[in-house]
Amino acid sequence: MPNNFWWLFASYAVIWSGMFIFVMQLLSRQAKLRREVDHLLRERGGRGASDGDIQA
Amino acid sequence: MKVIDKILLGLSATGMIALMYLVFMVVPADRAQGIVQKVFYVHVPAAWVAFTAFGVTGFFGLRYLMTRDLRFDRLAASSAEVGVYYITMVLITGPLWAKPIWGIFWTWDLRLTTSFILWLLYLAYLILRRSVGDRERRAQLSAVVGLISFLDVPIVYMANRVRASQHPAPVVGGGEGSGLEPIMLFTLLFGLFVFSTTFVLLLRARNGQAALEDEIEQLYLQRD
Repeated sequence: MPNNFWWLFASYAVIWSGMFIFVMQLLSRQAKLRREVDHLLRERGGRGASDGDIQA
Repeated sequence: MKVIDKILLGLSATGMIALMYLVFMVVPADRAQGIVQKVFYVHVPAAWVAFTAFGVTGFFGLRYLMTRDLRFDRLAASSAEVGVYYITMVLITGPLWAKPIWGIFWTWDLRLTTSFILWLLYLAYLILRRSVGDRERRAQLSAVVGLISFLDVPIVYMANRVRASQHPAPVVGGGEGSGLEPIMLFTLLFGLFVFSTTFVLLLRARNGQAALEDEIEQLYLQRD
């Protein structure tokens, strides 16, 4: 194993696991927000469920 | 998911795999530092994208102050949040690279200290957004803080250009004697492309959520 391989491995592991955690956090927040909007809209008896799609 | 997001997702995913192939299979190890120098191909693009993200925050903060359009505030805040993720990656991978080369994880030199301050400034920005209840006031304060915080970005960029630093001298745009082998430069630029597409994807996703959060806030206000 080349010298210092584990420091390199740790760096890339941090980058990709950090990315994974960030995306998972985004997805779980997306689901929670969508549920909350749907609940509030139902409560108001207004328009249908929000599509919650990604938008710019 | 919109077509543009699918394209960005495809580019990001395949780009990450291609980047790993380039880094581990194609680019040679640095003669002086050995294999650990390959941290460079994620550390530097993450820093550049973080700077861009904070620039986007400042730009849309300014647009908000000029127009009072909350869409700009949402974009500014979303960009700050994604930027904090990238600068956090910079502050973690930097010490992991430094330890085998310098023998220490951290030193309070100008480049490292100003980078740490940058991270603190945008953390403060995000905390501020959570602590101000009124929507308009939150947007105004955030825009001002986002613009002031951006002043640290050129300071970080120039820190190891104007003063001798423990941090390596710049290899791109660093003046005489700086430069990279063509394959190293290509890999660096490819890493920058991959991190940039990922940034745009994350920014769009986070911005969509920010719109939902505003919608929820409005619905609660209407209910009360």
